[in-house]
Amino acid sequence: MRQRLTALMLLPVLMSALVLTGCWDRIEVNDIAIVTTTSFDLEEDGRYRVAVQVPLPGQLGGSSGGGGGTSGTKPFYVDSEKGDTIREAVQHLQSRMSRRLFFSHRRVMVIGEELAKSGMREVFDVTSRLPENRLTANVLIAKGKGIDLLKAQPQFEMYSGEAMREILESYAVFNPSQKDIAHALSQIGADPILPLIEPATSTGGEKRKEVHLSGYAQFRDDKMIGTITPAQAEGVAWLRKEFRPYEKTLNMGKGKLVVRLYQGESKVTPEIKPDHVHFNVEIEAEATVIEAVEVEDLGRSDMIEKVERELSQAVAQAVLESAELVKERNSDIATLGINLSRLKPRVWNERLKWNWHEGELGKTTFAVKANCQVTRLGQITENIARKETVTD
Amino acid sequence: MYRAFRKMHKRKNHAAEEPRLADQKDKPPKNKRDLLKQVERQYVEDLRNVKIDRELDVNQKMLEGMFKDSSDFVIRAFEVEKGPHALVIFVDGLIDTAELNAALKVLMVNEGGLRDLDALTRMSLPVSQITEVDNYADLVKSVLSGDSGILIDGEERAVLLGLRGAKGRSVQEPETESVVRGPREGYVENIRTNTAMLRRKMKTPHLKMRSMTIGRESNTDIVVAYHEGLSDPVTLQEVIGRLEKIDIDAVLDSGYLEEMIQDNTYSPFPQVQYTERPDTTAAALLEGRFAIFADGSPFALVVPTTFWQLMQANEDYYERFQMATMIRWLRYLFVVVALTTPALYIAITTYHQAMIPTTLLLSLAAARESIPFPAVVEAFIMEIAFEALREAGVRLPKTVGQAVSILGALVIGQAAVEAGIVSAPMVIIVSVTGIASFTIPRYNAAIAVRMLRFPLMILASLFGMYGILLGMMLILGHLANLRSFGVPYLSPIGPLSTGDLKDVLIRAPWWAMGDRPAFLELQDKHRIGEELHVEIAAHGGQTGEKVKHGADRDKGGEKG
Repeated sequence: MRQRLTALMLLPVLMSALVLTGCWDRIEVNDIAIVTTTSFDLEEDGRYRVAVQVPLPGQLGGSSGGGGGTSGTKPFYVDSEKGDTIREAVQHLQSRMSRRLFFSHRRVMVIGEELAKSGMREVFDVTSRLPENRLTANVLIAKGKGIDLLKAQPQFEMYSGEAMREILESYAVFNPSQKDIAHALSQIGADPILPLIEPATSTGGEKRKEVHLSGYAQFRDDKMIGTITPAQAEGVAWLRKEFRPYEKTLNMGKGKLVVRLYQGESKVTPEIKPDHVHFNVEIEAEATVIEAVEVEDLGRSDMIEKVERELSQAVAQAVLESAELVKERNSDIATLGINLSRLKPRVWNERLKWNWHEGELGKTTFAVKANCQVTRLGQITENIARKETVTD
Repeated sequence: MYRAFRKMHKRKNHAAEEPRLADQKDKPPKNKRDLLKQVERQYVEDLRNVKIDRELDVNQKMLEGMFKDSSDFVIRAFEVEKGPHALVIFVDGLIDTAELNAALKVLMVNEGGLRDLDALTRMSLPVSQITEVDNYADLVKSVLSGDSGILIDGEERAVLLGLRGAKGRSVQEPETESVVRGPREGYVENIRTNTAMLRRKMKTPHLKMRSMTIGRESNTDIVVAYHEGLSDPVTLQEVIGRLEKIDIDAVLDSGYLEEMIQDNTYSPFPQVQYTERPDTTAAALLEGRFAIFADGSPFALVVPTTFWQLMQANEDYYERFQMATMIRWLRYLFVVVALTTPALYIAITTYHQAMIPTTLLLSLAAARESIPFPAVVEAFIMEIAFEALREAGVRLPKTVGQAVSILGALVIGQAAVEAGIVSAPMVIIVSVTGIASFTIPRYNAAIAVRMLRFPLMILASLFGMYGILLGMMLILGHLANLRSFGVPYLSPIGPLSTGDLKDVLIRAPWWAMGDRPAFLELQDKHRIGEELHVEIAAHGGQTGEKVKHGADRDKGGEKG
């Protein structure tokens, strides 16, 4: 009897567990439009244009159950709409969609060049305010209109969003997520650097619109101020103490040598001088030979040493050039400020922080010491098709 | 806490038993001539007060009256040579006629002048099983069970000859608990055969078998087997007490008993384990548990039972322990799978699409594109269809069974997907669930999981993952609350008894199974000898003294 009474008294508590859950958002998979990629553009009239890329499950093949859909049509759908705010544009877009736009699976966000140049900070409000959001989504800058990238139809993937994501994951030196960019934007001493992708046409028999990673967009605060090439980006990566394997071509006399740097580590130590900040950059890297065109026998150790010297010099040179780019454009994509704030927090907070972009960054000097080693030559030491000569 | 609970029970039972005993003693027998009428509509057990009469005629009339219109009941009058008149009664078909003939031959031909029953039983009858009874209850019950009764004029007692010869199923491999490695004998319907099989496993006087009869009309023989030196006497009283309370017309299978002695009758989880195997029964007795046999049922009940016990198969203990451990983990995993997979599918596809990897969501969406039903309806259709298929497969004659599997596989599996009525992922989910429920070694535990799947699916469709969590918490709470003969159902995990995890989380090798389960009340905890344990633990096996290993061997060991 007493147990029953306890149970009766517990009942309201249990029932409240059912009604206090908040959202009641049951929705079938057939009723959502899974947005994989969104682009944000700035129109000439100052309004936002938001485009979404939605795969069409009916056209995706999948199981035999998926009937309907004629072959030959694209397996995805791109539509865009304008609005004074991003959300307003989305609302306009929604009003002609029979399925609810579902943003949880948006893994790629494309920001058009115009919007990037005029400031992209506003985009990060709406995208992170809603629960349907991934902070890990890749953000990239489109050369030209963002919507053009969405319309591209790459060969390998079903839709361009996936293709862009795969390209960024595998090749890009910098592949920041929404969260990384928010970090960079919110701190003094770091500016975002984003991959720059442009539509490109393949040169094969069938002309298809592919997407092409052409470089990186450099920002000062939230405004894009210029582009940098992949080669320059590698120098920036050393300064950011981030390493991703890359290939480099060296001029060896009359020949050329391609090496792949597969392992590397850099140390960036700030030194406070009376009137400026000096950075000592130390680089340790290991490389392997990929291609040797008209280069002397690599089996000789003096030859290897020569290659190593050349490589070290080239790496150091690249870093210095990138540093120059940072100073010149007054945009700290190399996160030198962050570096200072960690290693010299007092000086940074008292003196440098608020003057960083007002001259201090421009006054910095750099000394680069690179030590590269060629550890592997590949399967062969010299071209297997080399003709025999007298000296042999 | 749980000991206090047991003590409370103990007192209760004592209180309950006493008035019962007093009850039986009143109502002395009335006029013998009136008895016949009275006897006709009575249950056999009520004949205990009706004594066997000194006059053979009275007895004969009594029996003839009782078994009027019973063509299988034989009452045959004869004369002991140079002695009194006598009656032999038996049920045709339950006895070994040749044996009975031999016994009768002794009485009718060879023996003379033996007027004393005691002398007859002690000296004359060449029958090993002889019992004397003085009342009709015992007489009739035994004869109906297959004994032959001999009544002699002038005696107030009757002799029962145990010449049973009823035809029954022979010992076969148990179908519900088949093994790759292990004994292949299973119980049959005959209780004596079953107890004999158990006795062969435990040749010790400590193995006790208390018998009783339950069922007013069926008079089913019940045997409670236990190990005297191990099992807890209080629990024994509890088991016997619960069985004695049962008042039912017939016990046709031990399942009747199970439902009446379990602690919580509304729970979907079985609190009584059943087994067809003597080895499993013996193992249970050696852990101080109790086995209940019912005549006519090839399943012995084992109490107390815990949840983890239902996840164990006897083969775990016969095959290598590493494998057994892995299999156990597999089972634990698949219990959860069997319970939650359809619910998870519903919850994730209708509430938490964000949780599915993008590419998987896209292929799911592609498969579901043309499905007219919501996920929960689809899941219910398929799960119910699957349960129906399974039921059909179990009940049908084996020859027709094939047709069921063809229908099931082709029509439901393939055609339904092609027609776009259910999606392919749903078929996969149902199949996984089905296979998962087959991995539970005990059929009755699998039933519980199968049943609970459906409420979880409803919860998932209403509240998503949150609903599943609530449901699982309720189930867990219920399990934690459950007792089997006073033993917490989740022990040794809850309440935790770390020493016993060696037989739950893993299956420890036999040499490491030093002690019997600590969560059971046992008189003797010790199972394995200490010395060998120490040796094997130290050397990683029995390296031996007589034979040399490896390099030592070449140097010329004794066996070289």
